[in-house]
Amino acid sequence: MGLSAADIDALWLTLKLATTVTLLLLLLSTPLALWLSSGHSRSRSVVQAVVALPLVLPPSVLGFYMLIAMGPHGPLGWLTQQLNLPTLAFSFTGLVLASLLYSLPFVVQPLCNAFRALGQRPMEVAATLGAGPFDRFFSVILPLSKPGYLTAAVLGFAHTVGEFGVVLMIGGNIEGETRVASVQIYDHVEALDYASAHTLSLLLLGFSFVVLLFLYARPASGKHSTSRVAQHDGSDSSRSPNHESENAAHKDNWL
Amino acid sequence: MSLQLDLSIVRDGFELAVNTCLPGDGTTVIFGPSGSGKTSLLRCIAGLENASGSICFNDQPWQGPGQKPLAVHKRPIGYVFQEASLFEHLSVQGNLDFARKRAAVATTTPATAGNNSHHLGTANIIAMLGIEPLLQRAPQQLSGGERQRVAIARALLNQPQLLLLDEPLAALDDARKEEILPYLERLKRHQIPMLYVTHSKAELSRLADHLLCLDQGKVVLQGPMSAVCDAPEFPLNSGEDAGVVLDARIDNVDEHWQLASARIQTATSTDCIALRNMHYRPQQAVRLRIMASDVSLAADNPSQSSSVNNCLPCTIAMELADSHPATVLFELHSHAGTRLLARVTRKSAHQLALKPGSQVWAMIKSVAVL
Repeated sequence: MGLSAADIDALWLTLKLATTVTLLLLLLSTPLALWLSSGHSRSRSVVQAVVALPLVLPPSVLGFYMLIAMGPHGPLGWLTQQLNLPTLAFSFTGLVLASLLYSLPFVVQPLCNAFRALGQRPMEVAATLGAGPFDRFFSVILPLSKPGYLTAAVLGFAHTVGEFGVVLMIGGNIEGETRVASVQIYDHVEALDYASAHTLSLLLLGFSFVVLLFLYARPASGKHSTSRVAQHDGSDSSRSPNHESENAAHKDNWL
Repeated sequence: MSLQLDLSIVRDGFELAVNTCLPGDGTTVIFGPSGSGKTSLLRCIAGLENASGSICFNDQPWQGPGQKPLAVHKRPIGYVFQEASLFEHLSVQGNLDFARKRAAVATTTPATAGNNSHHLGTANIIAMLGIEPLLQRAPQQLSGGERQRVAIARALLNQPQLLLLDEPLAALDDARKEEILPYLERLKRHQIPMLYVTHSKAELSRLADHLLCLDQGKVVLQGPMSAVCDAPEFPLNSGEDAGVVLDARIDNVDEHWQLASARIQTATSTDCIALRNMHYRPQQAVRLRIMASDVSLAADNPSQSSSVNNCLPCTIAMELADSHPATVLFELHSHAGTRLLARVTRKSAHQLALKPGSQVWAMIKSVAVL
């Protein structure tokens, strides 16, 4: 039960893809999640629904549309032609692009939840202490939503590793370029090489389990962040700015 | 020094319209019942909420027609929120450093650099709020009162020109309130201009130099405490806890009887009130609160026949409605010029034939030193 060179290539490619996609997603999702969590509006609902689409859509549907978009008559294809770039379909870049869409909800959602749980109060406090918008983000929001970022990174990474349908549609099956681990397993099974399929599958199974274990076990080690989030949420909703809490029956001690 | 406001908010079922000028020194208490808009007003002044209109602080426009409102972080304010609002990812020291590092940002505008006479050093602020032993702790390890003291210190370390406090004691129990009030009074002595939002008459009596009363988004009363205290809208002139607040100065201390004599410091009054001696120094300023329910009325001079020390000859100025039909409030003016409120039963008032113009003796059974 050893790993062939092709297997290692596939694993390495998967790692490269998932890392690239996770890092890009963390960057892109931060402003998006900040905006989504900052209030309620019709435009936010629409964007949120679009972001969540990959959760319910069959990956082949997403892959199909991406393939069309990257084709010579699609907008992305047109763009790459205008810029004299190689075509995106069946390339690693195309795969990254498709995976960004595919894993977007898995990164945006945890960040949204983290920002919502934080509430506006820490931002307001920081502003009254003289911190500008970027200062507020880096010195208050980022450290306070670290658990959210960790969840988002782990979920985004794991989900990208588990990608299959989109890869097959967009990337095809080019060794070293688009043949990721999940596709490699499919190849092994097609070739009736069950032993190799077992090895890779077991690796992915173990990886997924460890990731989930990490996610579910974390609240115990990170207790103080979760309890803080709960407290903040409670106090913010019960004392919204326009609602002054009344404490009518109070008696004061004098002297 | 002044804060010029002309603000209005219209939201579903809520309107706020305030057009006034608040003094830029001393403590201005913004008082009103729940939903009167006092917190919204404070948030608008800080820039945390939007309102149409203008705000001008010491000739610096913060907001006005045709002008982009000055961002919150550029206003030279400190803000103390109702509930503990410390950054939980930082220690107490970290929270204080956060404010200190950003202090310059908020105060470097040339127009304001000159008049920051009330700036305090870090050590002074930490000592004033008694938080020295807490510096290395995490906010989660602090009691509610300690958190609020740290929050006040943090706001001060930002070197604000105006300190805004939004019901800083409302989330605390009575014992914690008593723990913090002395620190707020120390702040007052350091002449940091404060806007203090509260619905507590106790905090109002203890802290206010100036009062702004809001009801349903409208200003119903405004002015220095001494000037507004006889208006019917004045919060201390009605309710179970009706009474008067008097600024006084210790005249002398009688060591034998352990009584201090406090001379009332209003424009008209020359009365002296005897207090239990609490290590007072001569000339020390004290603020007294005399509750209407602690003042009885007698037709004849009771000083020979009663145990009450503070008996003042008075004229009844006015009869005020009281919260219970069995009792009535009388506004009295002592012959030496002190204004008092007295609560007596309607029955006694009838038996003694008390009415405006009657000459009576006010027997003050207890005086609270605030």
